[in-house]
Amino acid sequence: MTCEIAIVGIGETPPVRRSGRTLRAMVVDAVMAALADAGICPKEVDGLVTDAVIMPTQVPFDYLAGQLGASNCFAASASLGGAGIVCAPMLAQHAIASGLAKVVVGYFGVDWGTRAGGPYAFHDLYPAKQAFEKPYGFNAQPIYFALWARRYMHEYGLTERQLGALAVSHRQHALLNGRGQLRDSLTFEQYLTSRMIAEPLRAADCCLITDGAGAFVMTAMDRARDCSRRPVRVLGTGFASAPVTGDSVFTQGSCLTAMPGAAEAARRAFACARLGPKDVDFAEIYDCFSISCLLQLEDTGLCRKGEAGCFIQDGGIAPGGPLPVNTHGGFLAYSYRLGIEHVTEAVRQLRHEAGRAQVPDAEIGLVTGLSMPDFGVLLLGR
Amino acid sequence: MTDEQIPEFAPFWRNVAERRLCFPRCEACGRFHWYPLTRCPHCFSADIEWRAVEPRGTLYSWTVVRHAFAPTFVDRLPYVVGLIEFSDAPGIRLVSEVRAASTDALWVSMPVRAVFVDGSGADGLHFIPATPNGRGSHEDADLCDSSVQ
Repeated sequence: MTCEIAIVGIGETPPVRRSGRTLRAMVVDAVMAALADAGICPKEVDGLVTDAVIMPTQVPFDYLAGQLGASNCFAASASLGGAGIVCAPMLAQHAIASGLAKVVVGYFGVDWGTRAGGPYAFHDLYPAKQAFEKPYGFNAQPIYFALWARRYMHEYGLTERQLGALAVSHRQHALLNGRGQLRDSLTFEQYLTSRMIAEPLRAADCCLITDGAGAFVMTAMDRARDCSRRPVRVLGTGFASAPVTGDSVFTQGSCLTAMPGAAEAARRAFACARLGPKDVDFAEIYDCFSISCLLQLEDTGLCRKGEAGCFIQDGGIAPGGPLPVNTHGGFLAYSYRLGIEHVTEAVRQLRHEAGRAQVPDAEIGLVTGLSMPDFGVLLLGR
Repeated sequence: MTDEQIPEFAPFWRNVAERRLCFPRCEACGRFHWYPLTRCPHCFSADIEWRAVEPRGTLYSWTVVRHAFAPTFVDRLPYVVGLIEFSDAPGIRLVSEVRAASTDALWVSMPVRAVFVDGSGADGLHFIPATPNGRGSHEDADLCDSSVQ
């Protein structure tokens, strides 16, 4: 790595279904909170990084730079949604290493609790989905991933008990965190009464819908030591994508049992950090659905292929387990802001500030971001 | 943008209306692709023709949808979406509706066959379970003439 950078500040708005606020206002609050956390004046910001599809049109760079009073502001985007957010530190690292920026803010937010059509309307940007899938009622992400779950069940023997254990584990983490959207306990018996959405996926297998934003501040390691909070080091980043269009990726990939790009993105991030899956103390995995979280555990090397179901059922990802996953409750129980909350939670864990949800002695955390066919992996260290 | 506005999309439904199941195939390398592109994703040739396939396939995966994400599907719940593979169009899969007397009888790799009915767009095509010899399990099925082209 040519330049060591660290995350020195985090901020987020409270996760809610409907905020009654504009996305711009929420993003500004999150960015201001992250800068206050870092002890850095907004005028010092000279870099902004985010995804390349949602934020640039909804909370554009110029709006944020104007609000912050940020001059000569470097701005860069990658991918859409999750993979872009998780790879924002990759962009920041290059900007800081080349002298283009010194204080870079990564930001993201969604207002899908309020916006008409929510996440379903987002996929209208894909013309082939409109032409060939929507007419058959193949019109929402839970239905796409139901096909994946069914196929994985067929190939690897995944059971309802294992999927349920994943949802239960996420809820256990959420209860320890206590600040997420879901605050009731969930047993496996209650999971079985959760409303079926698209078999085999129940409501409890699906992410929440959220209004909210988050942000994190990055700077070079030598500057980071002077900030108000303990710096969390960016150890490695990896981005990978599959050669398949966003239209086709849910149905036409070579298989429906591995996340496109995930294995390669993880390989790159681990190589960058000179670490391996066994070094990871906890993980924040892009859990848009129970099945997608399970597949990523395997594809990133945290579990072997076909073994994640048993690992989860045995308590492997639960609080106190060998690999706590989604220590805030994830998209299933905390909030669904496409991964910015996964980054901020990993930072909280590595500062040892996660309260009752703290993973003991957390030193290294892995974060994944999915935006099919793109994938991002971020390795952070204390 | 609708499929009518995208020239490379239009032949699919036009063929369905004529009771044919066709997919884009590259004339240069002989391989199919889906969804339609203006260049073959395998060899990059622009010489792409629509080829009819035997309207029988197998279920690669499927789901019973029990929640309507659009108002037009409320009255259709529950409905089955299947992902179907075709032996003479390797490498591609079609999203379609599968109508079965009982969803309990569906299984991965189950043979299915196309049913063409009068109606525009997706209303003109769905699939039903087929016995291994290719005969449908519903006697009202209007099997297309697969000898076209």
